Amino acid sequence: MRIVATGLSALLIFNVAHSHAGGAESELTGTNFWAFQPVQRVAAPSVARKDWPRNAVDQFILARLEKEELAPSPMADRTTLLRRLTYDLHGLPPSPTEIDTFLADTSPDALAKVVDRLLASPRYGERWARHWLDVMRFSESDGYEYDRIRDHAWTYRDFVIASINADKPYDRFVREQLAGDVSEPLTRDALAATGFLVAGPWDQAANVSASLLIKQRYREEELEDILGTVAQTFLGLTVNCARCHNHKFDPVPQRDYYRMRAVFAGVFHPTDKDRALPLLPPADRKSYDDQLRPLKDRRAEFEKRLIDLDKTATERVKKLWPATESTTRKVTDAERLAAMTDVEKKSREEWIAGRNGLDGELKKIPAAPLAYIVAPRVPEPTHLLLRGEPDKKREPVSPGGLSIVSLPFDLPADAPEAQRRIQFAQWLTRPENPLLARVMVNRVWQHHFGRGLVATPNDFGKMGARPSHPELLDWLASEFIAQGWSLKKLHRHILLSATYSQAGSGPVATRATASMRRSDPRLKDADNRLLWRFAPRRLEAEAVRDAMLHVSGQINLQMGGPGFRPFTNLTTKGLESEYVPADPPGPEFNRRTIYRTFVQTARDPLLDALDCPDGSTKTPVRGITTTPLQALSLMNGSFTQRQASHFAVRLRVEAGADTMAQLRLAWRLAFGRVATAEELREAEVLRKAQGLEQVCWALFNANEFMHVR
Amino acid sequence: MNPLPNPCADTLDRRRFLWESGAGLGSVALAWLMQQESRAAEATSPYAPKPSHFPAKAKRVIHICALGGVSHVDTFDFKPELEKRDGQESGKVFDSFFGQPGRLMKSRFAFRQHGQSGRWLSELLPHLAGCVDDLTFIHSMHSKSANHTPATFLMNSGFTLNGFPSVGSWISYGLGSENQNLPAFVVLPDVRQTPSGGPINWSAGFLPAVHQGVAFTSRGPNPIPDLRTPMETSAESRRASIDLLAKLNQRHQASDPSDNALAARIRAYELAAQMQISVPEAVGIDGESEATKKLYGLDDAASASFGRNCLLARRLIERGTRFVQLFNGGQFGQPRINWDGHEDVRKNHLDQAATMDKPLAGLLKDLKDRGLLKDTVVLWTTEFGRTPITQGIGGQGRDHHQKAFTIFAAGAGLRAGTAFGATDDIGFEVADKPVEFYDIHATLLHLLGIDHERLTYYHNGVNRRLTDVHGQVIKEVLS
Repeated sequence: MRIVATGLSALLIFNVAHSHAGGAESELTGTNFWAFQPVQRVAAPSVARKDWPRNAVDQFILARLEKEELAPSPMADRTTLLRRLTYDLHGLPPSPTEIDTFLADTSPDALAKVVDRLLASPRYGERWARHWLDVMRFSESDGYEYDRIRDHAWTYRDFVIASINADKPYDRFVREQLAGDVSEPLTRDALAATGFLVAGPWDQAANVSASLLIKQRYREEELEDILGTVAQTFLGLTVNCARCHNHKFDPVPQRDYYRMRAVFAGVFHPTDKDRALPLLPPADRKSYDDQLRPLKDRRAEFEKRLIDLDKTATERVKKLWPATESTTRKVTDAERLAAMTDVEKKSREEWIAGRNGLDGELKKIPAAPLAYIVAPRVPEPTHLLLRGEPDKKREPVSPGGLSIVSLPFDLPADAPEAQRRIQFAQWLTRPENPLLARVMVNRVWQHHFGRGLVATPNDFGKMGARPSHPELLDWLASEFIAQGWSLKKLHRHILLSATYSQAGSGPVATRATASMRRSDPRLKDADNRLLWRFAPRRLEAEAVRDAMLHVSGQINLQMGGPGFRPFTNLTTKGLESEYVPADPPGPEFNRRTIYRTFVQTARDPLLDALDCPDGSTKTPVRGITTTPLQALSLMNGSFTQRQASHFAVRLRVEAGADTMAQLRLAWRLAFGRVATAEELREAEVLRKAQGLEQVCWALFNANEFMHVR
Repeated sequence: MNPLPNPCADTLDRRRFLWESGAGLGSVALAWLMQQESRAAEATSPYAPKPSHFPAKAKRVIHICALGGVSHVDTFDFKPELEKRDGQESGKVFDSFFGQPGRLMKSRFAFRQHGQSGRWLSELLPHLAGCVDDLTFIHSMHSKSANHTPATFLMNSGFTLNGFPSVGSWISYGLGSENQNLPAFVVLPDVRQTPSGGPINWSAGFLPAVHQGVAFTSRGPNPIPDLRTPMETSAESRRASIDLLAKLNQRHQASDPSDNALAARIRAYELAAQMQISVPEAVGIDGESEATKKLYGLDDAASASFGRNCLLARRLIERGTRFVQLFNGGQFGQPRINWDGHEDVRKNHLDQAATMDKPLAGLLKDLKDRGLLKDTVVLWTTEFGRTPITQGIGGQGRDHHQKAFTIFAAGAGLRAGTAFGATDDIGFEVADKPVEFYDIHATLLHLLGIDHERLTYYHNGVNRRLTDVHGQVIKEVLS
């Protein structure tokens, strides 16, 4: 990295703005670009201030700060640190008991114990799965005008949560998402993983159109979505730019795009009537179906006969009624039965017996759960398409890898579908691939510090940002691989660093040398690029909602399974959908936000206002915006009102009749700290005049509740 | 580089594309950054107005989306040759949406010349015909998709896929708003039903969420969710609670005064309180005169609901809202509540025109009378046209047609009473000066003083533009 000047400009180096159309840069140069070089592990640098670093991360960070004559901040106090860690790993606030335990623990490994406890809890997987779902554009509906819900898409969300909680090695986690349905071991978990490839939109209308070109064009869009997601998620590369032309900035020739397209040419959404596949190995799916189908068909036949007979009998009864009555009264079962002939009655009993018998037989076959996963087909040959247009086919292209990752991977044009994905997954996860580990450790870093070492986590190419600490990035990447691709070990290393434990605000270190005192980091690195402090941040939408439920005592920690649906579908028109958000009370709706069925057009005003993405956009970095609509939603929304009421009830129950005790508990639950005397005095004035609920309302709306330091 | 600062996103967003090495232009970046910093400090409102690239002709936009595919040959694009060849084979082999091309079919409506400009319009839109001298028609539109929702997304965002920012959000991002107490981008969906794709049509995509369109609903008493203080909370109670909240926030902020996000959040609560007053005021049309209500067709059951939205649109832009988008037409599919005349184009278009004609003409006249048309652009679009050929032999309807259609605009900076581009003799294909939505978007931004190639936002490896890699300003339609 070239340093141009001191002060701010040393840290902010200009990006020549390119437009997507950018003219003369189409030549495929740049293979010597940093991101495409092998990962280089260098020893952690030595530092002047020996007493500060706790581990290698700290040495890299401090060495850079010392080079800029900046000093790190003092350590955060323990209460702040525990709140920070708990939100970071769980997306929830610490309980008063957890705070007390940590404050009372004077052992040198008190912090390590907390980190281990948090990583061992299933709340951790629920929190970190959401980060992953943001990156890979998870959605439980089709998008477009129908936006039909995919009833079985939650299986992928559960796969992610389970994998993260189990600390599944990241390389295996990746392979399963690309080829888990065709590789050994064929676990239920691995089968659900290919939901990754088909989580994008699916256009029902384009697929029913009679126009061949519309269908073909749409298929290319679908594949671009899949390829773009695969490359951005795992490699931090925007290969989708090469669909129509050689990549303007990165060494991705158009041909590479089509090699990758051939790898995924057999990947299709499950579009049969169930819109899902049983979670069984492909070889067993047919025999399972063969077993079930005849029984289901026979059952359906009995059911149909029974319904028809009921209809006939109902009409017979109604015929005898005066016209006015037939609109106001319903025919009863007894009346219907009385209107049947003896022969009919006998048939009816036989049919009921037949249906019940089949139900019994069906129950004996162990049900395979359904999942929205890849429904593979035999791939059509792939051709390079001029300007990406399906009616401008050029030479045929065989499946293969990207030439930018200089590991060979080529298959013949007629390679079987499964082989293509299996071998691509193996190629992608070879430890020599310089991008896979770098991109992932950067994502982990991003969520711990608010920003990645590379600030553009889905773009490690020339248009992306350069790493602020390239040696640290490579050190972490090589350590990640050396530790068996374990995310938990990576978290642990980062979270136990002095860098992470720094205060988020407060005065500049007093123990700094004279020259350090002269250089105020607030002026020199206002953006905290070099991590001289912890960057305070607002909670994400899910954490805000979950924290309110947690603090109010209403949270329902039921894990997994179909999501809750706090919306109604207004439309009465065929397959179309018009979802209207709702805020129904009840335990079912008090589950963690990750279990909300994620439908593209069923958006929630509160989550929306807090920058929750809509499921159609890959969101490697969430926006953090502050708007009047957000304030309105938190001030007046029924969810906040209800949780404030529950919070007040909880305080009365747990703290008893002593109103001061109620307020003290309120502060501990909402802010994770002890209230000051002044705060208690002010709150008591409001409580007396307007009730405890209003105090709870104010706490939920407070900046301190919404922000982590 | 991106000349438009974006003070409402946090510093992280604003700067992330600056971290490039090697270019040696640090001083330029620094100057730009300092300018942004100072502006961000001043601009405590997320909708703060921002300067345009060059002097603008227009300050604001009303965009009317007539959904379903309005038949150009039955409305604005008069084709005598089609009348002559009515019922004949078209001789066209093409890939139509439903795959049943029938015979040529003349317009189901009589055409006549109107105004001083002598524009030909069909009898379908008698009120709008009275406004032709204020309109600029573009007859040579063509689109990439003959599939409703992707075509609608293309019209609204320049992409057929989900997930890209809409025109209104780009304009909100680029220019902010002149009224800090109202959203910069307001959407008024058809009262009958929200359009297909719903909020995707007014999404901010990857732009900061503040630029997303705010859909005003006519369902229930509040145009936007959570606008009013809950019934069970008295005004006094709310005041007292806000008082405690303010103290909590002040003390919290005092411990880290450098954190702009905290100050912004405090300001957002102040803005929210103002919005609680200004939004109900803006939507309160009761004070409008009877003559005005009549002008917008509020006295007629067929046109009342769209008329109300047109009147609302005028009230919003009067108060400084930057971009108001109205939908004429609800979801696709059966029953038809939009311009999708597959079965019987005459009946379908008569029903739709009854909802739109009078309110739209009323809006144009009212804007003109009040002097608002001088600095407002009214843009009317449909996602595609309809085939000049019947759907199925013997059919009375027309299929989707992306090869040719007509749109129009009126107001600031436009050559009124003119037409641009042309289709062939039967309205099947563009014959002269083809135009795509990219060009419309580029021209619209130009009228607002924005260079469409310079309005960019970095996202996932690309400095994204509304017009992607396309778009030409149509100079010929500018005054």
